[in-house]
Amino acid sequence: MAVLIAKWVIFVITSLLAIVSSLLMITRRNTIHSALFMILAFVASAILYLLLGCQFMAMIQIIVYAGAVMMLILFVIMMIDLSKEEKLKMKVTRTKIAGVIVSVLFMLALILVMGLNSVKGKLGALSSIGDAKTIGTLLFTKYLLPFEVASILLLAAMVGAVMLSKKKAFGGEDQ
Amino acid sequence: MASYIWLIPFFPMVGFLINGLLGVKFKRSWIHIIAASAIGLSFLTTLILFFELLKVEPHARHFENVIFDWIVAGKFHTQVAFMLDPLSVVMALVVTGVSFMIHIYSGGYMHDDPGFRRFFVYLNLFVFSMLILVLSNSFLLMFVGWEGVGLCSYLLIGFWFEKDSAANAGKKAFVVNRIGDFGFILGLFLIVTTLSKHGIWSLNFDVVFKNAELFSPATVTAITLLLFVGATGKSAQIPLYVWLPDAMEGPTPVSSLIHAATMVTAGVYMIARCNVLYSMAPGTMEVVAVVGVLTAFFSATIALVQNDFKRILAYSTVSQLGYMFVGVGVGAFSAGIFHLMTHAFFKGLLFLASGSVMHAMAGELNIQKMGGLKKFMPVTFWVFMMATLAISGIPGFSGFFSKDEILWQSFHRGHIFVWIMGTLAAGLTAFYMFRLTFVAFFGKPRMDEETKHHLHESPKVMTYPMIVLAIASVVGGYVGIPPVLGGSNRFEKFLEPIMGGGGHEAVKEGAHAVAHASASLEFTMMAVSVIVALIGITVAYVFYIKNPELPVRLARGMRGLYTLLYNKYFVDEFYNSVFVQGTKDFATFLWQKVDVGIIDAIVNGVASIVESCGGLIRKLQTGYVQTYAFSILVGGVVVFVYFFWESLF
Amino acid sequence: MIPVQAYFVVSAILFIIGVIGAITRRNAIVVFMSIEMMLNAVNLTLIATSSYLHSIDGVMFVFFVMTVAAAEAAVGLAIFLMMYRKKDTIKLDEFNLLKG
Repeated sequence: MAVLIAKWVIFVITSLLAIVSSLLMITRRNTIHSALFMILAFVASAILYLLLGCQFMAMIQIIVYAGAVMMLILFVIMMIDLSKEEKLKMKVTRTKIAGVIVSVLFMLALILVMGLNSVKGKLGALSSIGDAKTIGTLLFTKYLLPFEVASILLLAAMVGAVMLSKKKAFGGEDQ
Repeated sequence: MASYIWLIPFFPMVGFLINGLLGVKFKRSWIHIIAASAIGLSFLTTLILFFELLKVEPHARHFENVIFDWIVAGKFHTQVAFMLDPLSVVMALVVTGVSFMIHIYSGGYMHDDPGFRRFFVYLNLFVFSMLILVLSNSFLLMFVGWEGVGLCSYLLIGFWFEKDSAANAGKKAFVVNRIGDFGFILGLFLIVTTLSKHGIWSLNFDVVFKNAELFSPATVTAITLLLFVGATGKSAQIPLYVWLPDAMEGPTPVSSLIHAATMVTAGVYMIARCNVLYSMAPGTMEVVAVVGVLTAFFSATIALVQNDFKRILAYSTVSQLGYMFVGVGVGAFSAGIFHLMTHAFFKGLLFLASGSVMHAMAGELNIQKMGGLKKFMPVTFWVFMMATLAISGIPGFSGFFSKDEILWQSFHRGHIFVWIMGTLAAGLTAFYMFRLTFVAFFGKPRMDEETKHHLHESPKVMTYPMIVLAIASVVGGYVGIPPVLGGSNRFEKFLEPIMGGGGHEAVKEGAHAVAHASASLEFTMMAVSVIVALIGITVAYVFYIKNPELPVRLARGMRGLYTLLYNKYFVDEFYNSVFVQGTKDFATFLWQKVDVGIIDAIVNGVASIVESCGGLIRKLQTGYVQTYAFSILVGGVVVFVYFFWESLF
Repeated sequence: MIPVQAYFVVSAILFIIGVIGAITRRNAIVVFMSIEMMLNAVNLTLIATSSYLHSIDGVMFVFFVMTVAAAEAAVGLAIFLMMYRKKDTIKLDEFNLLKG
């Protein structure tokens, strides 16, 4: 019982943390602040993964997002002079208002459908799902082809990123 | 041997490609050597094949050389294939032989022209197309050659296109030829549609002629008349002869090669090739013979009073082509081809000699400003004389044998009217040719001192080919000496397997009548034509050597007739006001009323409707990526609501 | 026992926050981060479902989604660099080449 209460407490806290920090992320005018709030939201998500018994994915989440993607974003922010963007005031247009309204309605619909309906099948979270060994075995057996495709995708993305960020790539003058 | 036939057109094509694609930097002498040797090799191949052909039995003289499948469309199937038989080998020999001489000659004649390379490129292309025409084994490939020579003719008439008159003459030749070609291709369509009803899908000569009985008399008359329309265009017969005199705007070797010796005879060749079909349509034959003789007579009368050296020769060409049509029209197909061959020699030579005169006279063509050239240009004079004697039908020269053959055949096959007109035209021919000779080469020089000072004989590169052709003009007739003069008419025998007319009755009867004609009658005929020619020569002598005021007085006395002849019966003016102006008016109507008023209005109306609709819809495209993201979201919501409609409420 | 619906609600909220960010913000990098947030919300749903249905497939899905997200990050950020070089800004209203 105590465990269950502890779980609920952790769940509520981390959920709120994720929601609040992602809200802050989309509202901060300073891009670096946004980025830091995003890390926070992702870490909170990682804790939720742990709560669901998926340790491996939680680790990956932190390594990939908080580590790699975050570093990239910060590097780009560093390279680009964002002072103009940061001075921008929120411009309220009809499209944006409509967008927010539709989004909120959509969220309500989602909660209505997913949150209040019962889920069929084996219920109850596993204490552990997807440890490194299981996932590794699966990756090299059942999911071998997608795995290889994913590796090619990463290679292509790497080459693409290099090509795009080269100064001369599209006929621009060299430095 | 059949496998070598493709070499004949191959060499000119190679010459065309080398000079045309790579020749920009070549020296002029190289270009000349490449072009001339291409034709020379082709001539040599033809000669070898000719002798090989002679070794074969007369009735087995038919070889085909298939190059590749050309059109395979459903049941219709045609190949690019060349055919060698007595007729095509004679044509190929004439074409390559005369072209070879003219190629050599052109090296001297065109020496200082800026378009030297272009000239030889066109010339080789022309010989290539002409060989395709004569060697093809089907109507379709023949048509390719037919159009190819038409194109080259256009390009070469307008060779000096910076001159308006040359560009217009080229255009005229092209348009007039197009009218003829339209008839020709309609004839081909009629052949295909008729034969396909019987399950035969081919335009090969063999197949068409073998199945000629399938045509009804009306159909075959229509086919042959349509093909003859094509022939009148290409071979400058009434009513489509008007382009040929204007074609003299081109360089003289071109006039010689294309507009005298080879291309213009394509119509005669085509009719001779289709003799099976023509024999089945006596009505058409009559039309061909009458058109031929009328052309021969009327263009000869025009030539009487012209003063332009090359125009006289041009009308003479039209007239001689008329003779050839008389030959094929009365059913003496080999006589027509015989005249074609001898004419190629002497008319080619006449033009070359006129080019030589022009060369010496700095481009002057008015014979009234010449005179006494004999002294300055002996070689040109003598070769010109040979050709003149040949064309006038003086016994012993080639023209005598061929022209006499035609006249005699027409008399004996019962075409008396044709014979009378033809004989008269022969007298006129002798007259105007000797008028030309006497005015240009005899008498006192009438050119100005400057020109006279520069008069000179042409270089050897020009005179030698002329001498070769002069020899051919003299001896060319000896291959076809008629039996009555102790010969055996080997030329006719050689062509006999092809010219049988498909063994048709009318032709057989005609040949029968000819074979059984009495020798004395034939001698009388010959004597008549020789006397007529001599009268023509004598009159010319009296008019232009003895008594030069006489023609002037005569012209003044018969003002009306003279003006009519001098202005070529006003045919050009007539065509211009009726056809050309009519077409222009109609086109203007179509342009201003129909095109601008109706078609453009419809098109513009549709465009403006589309434009205004587009103007409304384009507002959806803001260009901002977030608007697009928003529409994705809306789409997602719609899909979601659609699928979860029940669980929502 | 935390019901799986609780996780769904959280991920729905996170997803919609991402959508709102992507639609309203004009800073390209923030838009990009919002999109990552949407991916993250979906990942959460997948893992929750996987855990509750005792099936590993959802987790594998998340693995590949992350791979794609990483690739997208690399290319996307390189594109922002290009955009910046061209126009000296990454304000999204400056890029309206698709305007009709």
